[in-house]
Amino acid sequence: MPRKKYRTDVALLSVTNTEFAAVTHFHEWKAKTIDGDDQIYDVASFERDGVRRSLVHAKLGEMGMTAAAATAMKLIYEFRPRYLIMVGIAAGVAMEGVADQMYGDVVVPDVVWNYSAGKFVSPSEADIAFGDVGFLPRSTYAAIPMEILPHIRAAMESEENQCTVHIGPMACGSSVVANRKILEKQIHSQLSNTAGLDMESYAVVYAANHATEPKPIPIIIKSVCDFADNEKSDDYQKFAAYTSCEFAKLLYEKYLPLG
Amino acid sequence: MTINKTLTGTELAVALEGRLDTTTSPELEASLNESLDGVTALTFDFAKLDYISSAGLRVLLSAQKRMNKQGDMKVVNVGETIMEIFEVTGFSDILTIE
Repeated sequence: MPRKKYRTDVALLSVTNTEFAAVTHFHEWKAKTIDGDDQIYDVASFERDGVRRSLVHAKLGEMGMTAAAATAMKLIYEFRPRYLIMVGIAAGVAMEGVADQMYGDVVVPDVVWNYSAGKFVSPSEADIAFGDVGFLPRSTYAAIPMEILPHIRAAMESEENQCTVHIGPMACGSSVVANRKILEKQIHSQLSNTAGLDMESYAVVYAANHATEPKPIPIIIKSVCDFADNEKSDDYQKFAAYTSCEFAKLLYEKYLPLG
Repeated sequence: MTINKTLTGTELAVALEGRLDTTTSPELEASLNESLDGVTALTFDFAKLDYISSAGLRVLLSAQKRMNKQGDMKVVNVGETIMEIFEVTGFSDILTIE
């Protein structure tokens, strides 16, 4: 039985209005609706080597893994993209000695993991304790296809790249984090080289990896807008959303193999 | 890109000319690193700056971070092209622009 073919070159996912504004800045989009589907999609195109390439974008209705998985699956089945790229903002969480991160730095994970999966127990039974509450982590992991990493590295090392890019694990959880102790106790204690923290990446990669053929290649490109500590603010979200989309554009317009 | 620095007491004025991008921003970063000790007021003059990329914005953030600890920083004579970039990236809210 022949495999179905890709019908779209690149699909983008975003969540917040700030991310959506950054996505719209880089292309001329047209809204597209599908009968029976309340999602609004945006379609655009770009030219590469004399060939017109197709782009589609969908904005999640809310933050988090549930909306991310549902929207990613709809995007995959309606448009059959070769690449499924989530852009947007994340928390920078790299420890000293791992990477020096600044606002606007891009984090591209080689693996995403759900740090919030686990079991709440008494502190005496737990690996991690928060006062009277213990937590036994049962983290789950999803890898970005290895063959795509050389293309990401080529883009980040190119003279055209204007962004500082970090490749490393992205932790994904169901809550916004504004407390450094969560990072130390629940994230870095499990995976010390974790470079970023968001609320959707694991679901997007899971959706891509578990879609029917032809599966899209998932890529997460998120930029640092805060450091998940008590100084967390929204001041740098626009810049982070911008650099995320800027690096994504460089990647798909010049470096990812499009077939 | 051309960098013209003028130090008056503890006030440093940095006038940039050309393009501040991934090629030229390391030069500005190095220049600031060697000049900012003891500076309490840093002023960037962008009158002759044609373009700033994300790499250049990162250098401004780095300078702002340092100046938050030792004084003030502002950007003056920002042209239309650069201001558009500042607005899209939120820098118009982050920096002091005169």
